[in-house]
Amino acid sequence: MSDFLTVLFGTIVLSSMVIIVHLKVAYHPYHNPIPLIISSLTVMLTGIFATSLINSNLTFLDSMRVSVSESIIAILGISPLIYLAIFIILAKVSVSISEIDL
Amino acid sequence: MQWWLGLALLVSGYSMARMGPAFRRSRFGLPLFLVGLLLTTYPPDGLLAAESRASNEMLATLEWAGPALIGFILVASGAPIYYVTNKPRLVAGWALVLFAGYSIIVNWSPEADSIILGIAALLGILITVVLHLLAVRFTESLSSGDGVTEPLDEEEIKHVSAILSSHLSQMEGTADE
Repeated sequence: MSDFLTVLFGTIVLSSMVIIVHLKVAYHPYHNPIPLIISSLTVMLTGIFATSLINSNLTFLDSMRVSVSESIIAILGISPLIYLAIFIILAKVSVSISEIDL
Repeated sequence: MQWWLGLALLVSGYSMARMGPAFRRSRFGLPLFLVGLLLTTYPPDGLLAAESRASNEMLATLEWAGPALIGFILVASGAPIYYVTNKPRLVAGWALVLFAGYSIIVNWSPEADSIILGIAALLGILITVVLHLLAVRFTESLSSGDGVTEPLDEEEIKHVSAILSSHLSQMEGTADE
């Protein structure tokens, strides 16, 4: 259960980090990202706090590093399923009855 | 620190690559992504055990994800669009995709633990996305609605005209072929 919660909160922290980085680097003048950055920071800090409660033997920073790393491993572990989903979509797209070949 | 910087560059590169032509940062996307990939897959010493395992896992995943990604791009660009197919691209793309599939079948051995942790990861992503969408909805509800939109200024007119003429000339070029 501890591993499950570590990965769950680690993924929340990781996803929030990704959103914050994305909002920052994809900034353009017609967009106000500040409220979304604040909300993502709040979610991320809540996630870090939760992981530090689960891994009470680690420091705040180390518990975040461990949980995010574990969540990356968990996501990579199921990444072949993402491959399978894209495979099916592209197999459908590749099949066409009438077409003009180049 | 280098490993985390690599992760940030990886995400930054992907996000920049997704930027439209109006914002010329998109050209920095791929180099940033590759630098990030290099920093995360070949990290320095001094990482925590979990970070080292994550780094190794990323390197192992790259063995099939690299060919798969290139294959997917080739298949998507070679697949029929308005009844026009680019067969060489399609065949090359599917060869890479099938090679990646073979590599997965040979190397991937899912265990109950990894499936359960995968479910936890998916749940975490889902929770974050839902919270983010709620935040987007809340932010948009704060918008006062400015009434009539200001017309484009000289600089913006030039910018939009350049983009439109570039797209139109590309379309004409394709139609001539």
